[in-house]
Amino acid sequence: MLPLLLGFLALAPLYWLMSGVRLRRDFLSLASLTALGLYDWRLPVLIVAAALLLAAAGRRAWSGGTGTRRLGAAMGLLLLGILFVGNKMAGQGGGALPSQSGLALLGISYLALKLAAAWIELARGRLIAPRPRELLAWLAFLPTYPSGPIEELEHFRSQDPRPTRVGVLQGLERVLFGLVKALLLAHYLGVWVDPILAAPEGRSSGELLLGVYASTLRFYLDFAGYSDIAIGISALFGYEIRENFDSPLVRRNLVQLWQHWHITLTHWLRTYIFIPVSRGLMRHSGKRWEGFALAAGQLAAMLFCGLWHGLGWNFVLWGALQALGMIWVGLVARPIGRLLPRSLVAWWRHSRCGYAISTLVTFHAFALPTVLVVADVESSLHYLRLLFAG
Amino acid sequence: MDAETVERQILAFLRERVEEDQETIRRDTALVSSGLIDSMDTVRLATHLERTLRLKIPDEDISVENFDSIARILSYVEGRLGG
Repeated sequence: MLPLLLGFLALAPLYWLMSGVRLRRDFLSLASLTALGLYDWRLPVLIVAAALLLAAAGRRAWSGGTGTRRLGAAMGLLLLGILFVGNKMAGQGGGALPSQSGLALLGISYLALKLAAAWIELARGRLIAPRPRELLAWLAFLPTYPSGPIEELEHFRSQDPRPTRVGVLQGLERVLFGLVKALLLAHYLGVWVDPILAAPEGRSSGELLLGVYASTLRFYLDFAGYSDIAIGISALFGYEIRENFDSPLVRRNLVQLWQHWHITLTHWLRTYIFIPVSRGLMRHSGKRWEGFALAAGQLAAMLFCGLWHGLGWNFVLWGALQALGMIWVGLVARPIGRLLPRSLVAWWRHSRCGYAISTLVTFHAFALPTVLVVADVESSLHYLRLLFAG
Repeated sequence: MDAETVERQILAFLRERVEEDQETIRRDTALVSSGLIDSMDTVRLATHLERTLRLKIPDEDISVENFDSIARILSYVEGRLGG
């Protein structure tokens, strides 16, 4: 995947010579589809078919009523679900990290989320007559295709990409940062931590705890590194892509951590799962059940997040644990905080000591379940048993 | 419904939900992007406004753009009531 992305950089000088938004956009679409076709011929076929289908549905839906829009969207989502699950099942055995793409078809997890968002917006009547070329440019855009960030159609198509000298230099710097994070730091952390995760027997608790820290840091560096590379390459072509990571591992609670981890994914989960599920339940229940509705929404979003990373009980359990942590923060810890004296709460919120302790607890609440992302449930529980047994 | 009533409703909600000193929350204080309120609070706030102001807020309108400050919420609610 990385050679594909870096090879794309070579096209930048030719792109800079072009004038006009349409020409530049079409050139990028063609270059992206060709590069993806060289990697796997099925990818451009799939992307072109998806863009044409969505554009056709968009035109028809715009002239039809709400029922037509919803029916079209439901069929589109069903097709996507089949493609996503089929792809995951065919690629079982691959890792969850961007550097470990073991799926049958590259980038389908991200493509599916972009397309699902478009179909849902279509059902809501907010995707107005999309043009096939715009959809194609958005879906195929190579810098973000394999591992995000997940660009929203409106944000992408509203841009008038004009590469500037400053933008190009900042983009190159960002690519370098990303390479250091993903290829150097994440890679060597993986080399060190993989044997510990694979064979925890006979190791001390300290070593196993360091293994958890290293594994979590590796996840962050790999995901954030690939996001940096994508954002940097996009800048070379004059595109401004949304940030994806903002120091998530030094946040005061799990909700804040998730607001700054894989930001475009959590935005997607919030917009298309958490809010609709919570609000749907709230509409059918009274104020007394608000907490239950919010908890159910959070659980649904994080279970989906787990299954999106991999189809397996380990990912289900990982998602459920993250959701429980977030429910604890929003529905238990904060109400308890409101019972305490305001001066004490204010001191806790603004003191370095409060920040250090909160961050440390949050980091551990996030990091310990990550063993589930690299191993099945039984092996993960075995690892944690050895860690806590001393 | 005037802006003052809407603002009173928002402040009543924030008084219940936010640990921060109320005096420091101004019309332009960032609520969501600063972490003062999270996504669960935002959904609660939207539902609170729907119930108290008797207006419909579609799910897709619950966003940082519409809910990040009292000023933005006022402007959004004004638009909904006006529309």
